[in-house]
Amino acid sequence: MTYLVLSAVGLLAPAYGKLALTIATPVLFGEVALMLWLLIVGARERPLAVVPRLQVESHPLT
Amino acid sequence: MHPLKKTARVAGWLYLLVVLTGAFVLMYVPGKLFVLGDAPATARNILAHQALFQAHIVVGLASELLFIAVVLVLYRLLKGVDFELAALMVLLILIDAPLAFLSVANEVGTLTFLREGGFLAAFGPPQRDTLATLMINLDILGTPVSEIFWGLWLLPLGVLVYARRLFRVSWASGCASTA
Repeated sequence: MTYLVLSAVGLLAPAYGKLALTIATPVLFGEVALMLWLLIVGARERPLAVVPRLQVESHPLT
Repeated sequence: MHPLKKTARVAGWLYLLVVLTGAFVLMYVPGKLFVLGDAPATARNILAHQALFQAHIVVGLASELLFIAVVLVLYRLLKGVDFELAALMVLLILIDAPLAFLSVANEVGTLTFLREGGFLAAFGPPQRDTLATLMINLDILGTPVSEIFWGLWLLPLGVLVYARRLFRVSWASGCASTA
């Protein structure tokens, strides 16, 4: 959402663009956090939830 | 290393390169060359530091190509969680890509107009400066337009990452099922 706000400020009130970027910079570091997470931790495979199998009685016609 | 972890690491390394090249293109060079609201001063700075501006153009192209690569690797990683959201994420960046390349073309145009000689000899210095100013303004205005897509693509990415944590969907088995 931060980029959308920066975009709106940049297009509608460019004079405040630098101020908006200064305020938004800490929030933009969230993207860096995602990058670091991928780089350091990576992805972990998680086990699928076990779906109980239905106990179907065999039909006499099958 | 598990293939899933390897894919995530590749995405991370590519993302790191995007962050570094992006910082050079969006922060370092504009900080050195661009004077807000004063295009003639910006033009003078560009002429005085042409090598830096050319590096800005080349790194800008590389950064956008790396950004596309990041999204494609993330798509490979997350398509098993929700195919439509992962595809939307890629689509939003692919919409932004031509805007970024157009911005680079404006930068090449800026440099062309600022340099004297060649076919531009027919234009006088004030005309060349005016055209260069137009190109600089178009380039600067390109950033807020691109920011719309830089913000929008993060929404499906955020939902995908959150969904994975919340619902404990297996990335690997999800990828296999949609392959």
